[in-house]
Amino acid sequence: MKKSWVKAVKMATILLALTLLLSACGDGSSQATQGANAAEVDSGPVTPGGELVFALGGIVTDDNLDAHKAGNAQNGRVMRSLYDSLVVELPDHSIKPWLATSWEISEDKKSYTFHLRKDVKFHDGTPFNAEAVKFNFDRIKDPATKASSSLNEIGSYVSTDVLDEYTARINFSAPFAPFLSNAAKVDLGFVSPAAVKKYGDKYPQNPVGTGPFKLVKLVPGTEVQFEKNPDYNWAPPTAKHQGPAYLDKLTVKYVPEEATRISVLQSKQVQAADIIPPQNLVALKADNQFRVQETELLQVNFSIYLNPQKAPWNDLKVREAVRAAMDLDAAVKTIYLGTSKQAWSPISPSMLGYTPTVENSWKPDAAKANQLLDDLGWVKGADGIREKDGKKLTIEFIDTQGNREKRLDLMAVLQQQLKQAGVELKVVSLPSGTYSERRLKGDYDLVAASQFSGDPDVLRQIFSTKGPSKKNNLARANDPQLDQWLEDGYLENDPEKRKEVYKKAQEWIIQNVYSIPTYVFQYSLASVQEVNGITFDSPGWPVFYDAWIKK
Amino acid sequence: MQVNSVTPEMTPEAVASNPVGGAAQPKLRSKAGSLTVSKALLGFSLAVLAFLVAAAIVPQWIAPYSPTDMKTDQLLHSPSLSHWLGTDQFGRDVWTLIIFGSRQSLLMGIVSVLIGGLIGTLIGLIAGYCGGIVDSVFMRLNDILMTIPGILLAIAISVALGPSFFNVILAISVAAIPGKARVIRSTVLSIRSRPFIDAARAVGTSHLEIMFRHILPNCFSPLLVMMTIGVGSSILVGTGLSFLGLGVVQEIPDWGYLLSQGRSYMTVAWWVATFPGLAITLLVIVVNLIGDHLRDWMDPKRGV
Repeated sequence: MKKSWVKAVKMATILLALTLLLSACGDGSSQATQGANAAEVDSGPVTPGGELVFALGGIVTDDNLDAHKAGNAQNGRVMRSLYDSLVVELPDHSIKPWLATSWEISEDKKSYTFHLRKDVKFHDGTPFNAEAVKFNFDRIKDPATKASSSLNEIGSYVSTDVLDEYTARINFSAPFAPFLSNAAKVDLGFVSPAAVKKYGDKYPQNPVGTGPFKLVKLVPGTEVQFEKNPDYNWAPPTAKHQGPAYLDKLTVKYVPEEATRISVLQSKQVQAADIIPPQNLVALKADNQFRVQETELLQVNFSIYLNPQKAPWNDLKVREAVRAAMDLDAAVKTIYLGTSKQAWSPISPSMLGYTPTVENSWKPDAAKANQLLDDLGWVKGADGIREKDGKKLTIEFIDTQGNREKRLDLMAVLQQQLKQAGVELKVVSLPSGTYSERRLKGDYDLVAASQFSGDPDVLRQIFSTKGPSKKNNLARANDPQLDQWLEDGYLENDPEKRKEVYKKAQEWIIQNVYSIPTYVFQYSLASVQEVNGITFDSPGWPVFYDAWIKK
Repeated sequence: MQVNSVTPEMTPEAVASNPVGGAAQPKLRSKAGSLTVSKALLGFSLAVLAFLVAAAIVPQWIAPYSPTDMKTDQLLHSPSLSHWLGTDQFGRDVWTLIIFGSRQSLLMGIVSVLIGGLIGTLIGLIAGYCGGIVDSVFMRLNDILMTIPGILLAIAISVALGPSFFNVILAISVAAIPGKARVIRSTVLSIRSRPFIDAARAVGTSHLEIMFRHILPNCFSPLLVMMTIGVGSSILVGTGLSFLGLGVVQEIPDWGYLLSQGRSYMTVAWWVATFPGLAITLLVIVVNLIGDHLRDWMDPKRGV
């Protein structure tokens, strides 16, 4: 019947609408009860064993668990359980032994000789030795490997000499100060040479390291299952115990959708989850069934880069006006509900060389913004947007990442603040291919991004025409003075002198508005109350080696 | 197709192929009570639609606040007298956002149905009138399109072309073509075989004139019904695209975007996602109810 057909269509549409709505309601689980601060509860004696399921905020990109090829943050968080490094970095940036028991740096600062532990084995039973060190560094350097961030982290690496079975000398063509700090990161973790030869192109899905957990099974696009490495006896001095990990099994599930991640944790389908959205953070902290840990991720903060090679942003006064028109403190407080602070420097506060001198070096000042733009001849038109010579003062902001960490929400608040000053901010969402093309051509007014890294040398990548990205550096800065400082920074081995150089560089970047830093990202990890002992390594990746579940 | 058939398994095509003589179903609504209910529902639907159309045209006269006004001291406030539907994560008034968002949702629904309807009608008209190889080619292509679910087709097009308002409309329009083409073709087939067409042909009327002056006007009533109901499903596809992040991020967000952004606040502020979701549901229901009535009203057997 015609009638029944129309009814069917009608019902189907209504059902669809309801499904859409209900999918939204599905997250509404019971809410926090008040209680003592979770982290302070006494946990009693360690009870080893059991399985921990961890909901990862994001996906392991391409299911790639190759320490040298997988450059993304989520991949790094998972790989930290698989791979060990030569050394370990403490929060105060001092370096301690790990797979290397000691090391010497040559007079000319171009060679590092590492003495390795003799009892370390890869998960496949092959020994970790000087040959393995040489294989790993040569592999990163080899263009055929297509290494990602690990390639930046070996800087001017030339070769490795195998002095004896457990002594390796690593040579650079020029001094490379960030090396020890970089060597502590998972990107320079050690892969098994035998496994790389065995699996070839399939290695990233069949990783073999020396870490406390070994791979059991990788379900593509879904989860990674690990079990403890029973032979493990080479934990770094930062660990709270020695021998194998406490957990029998560790399963990492990819849960990129934040509301889902919170609800699987609240319903205890998983024992831990990371990147907790601000609106849930407060509630989880107050709930004594859960504990929340936070750490500052060492990185270049999510920052706004006006294109200084395109008019009118090539004029420092216009860049200053834009900055003065924005009230970042208010915007950050609104969007992150007080869980993140405003950033003042391009780099995060815990990074080596961070200078507090840039803090409060500018302030939101609508009057100043208006004054500057008025003086330059930008006059408000009928729609409230300033114009000059028939051209509107419009900032075209190109973006490809979407609302990760609520970044587009943050930009939406800034958009309203800029409008008050007669500046239009237009968000142009692009597929990643088109985005890179336009960014490399400089065909945009503004980009905004973050870059994780444990060392201030990363500034060279973003601001220097002599860095790895040359003229196409993210900030499109072309400033010989800045180039010089950033070069001095990685050639200088003395930490105190390095700090001095980076202080000047940060002040210069802020003075010239090459970057407008926005917020300091707090990496958050919440777990059920029974889970103890999760720690973080130096750039801020979670470490499950000491973790245990109270029985 | 049997006129006056009561087979419950009638396909959409079969229904539509009887635009003039078909579907003389038992008049369930002739009972006085259900007639009143159905009239009341129609009245309600028309009122809601009229309100939403007004909201789409002059939102600033209806909404109590500005949609871009971010009150940073009133984040995620629950519904109250000053903010009927609460405030969102930016401190914006949710009621205001729904009123301002109606323009985009309605535009998406109406424009894409117009485009999809126009192209679908042309294809159906040509295929149905020409018959033979032309019919086969057009309809097989149409079948291929039909096998792909509309939302999937729209997602594929949006991803390929990138997010912009025009592309979203294009994506929904393409998704709306196959159904319309098929219905129009069957209608054309049944009209083509009727005596007045033979008569027109006999006096030497050109093919184009027969198609557009004699056949097309007779297709209007099923077309109108299809398009009205199509508005509802197009709005759903459109809001679905926004929900999935394939829509356009604009200063004034549409309902789908509000729903998807509000979803992550569900555990702490249910109103941010719930009300835009209800708005979508309500709009789709009233458009369908109106379409239903329109179909009854255009039924030539009405009141027999």
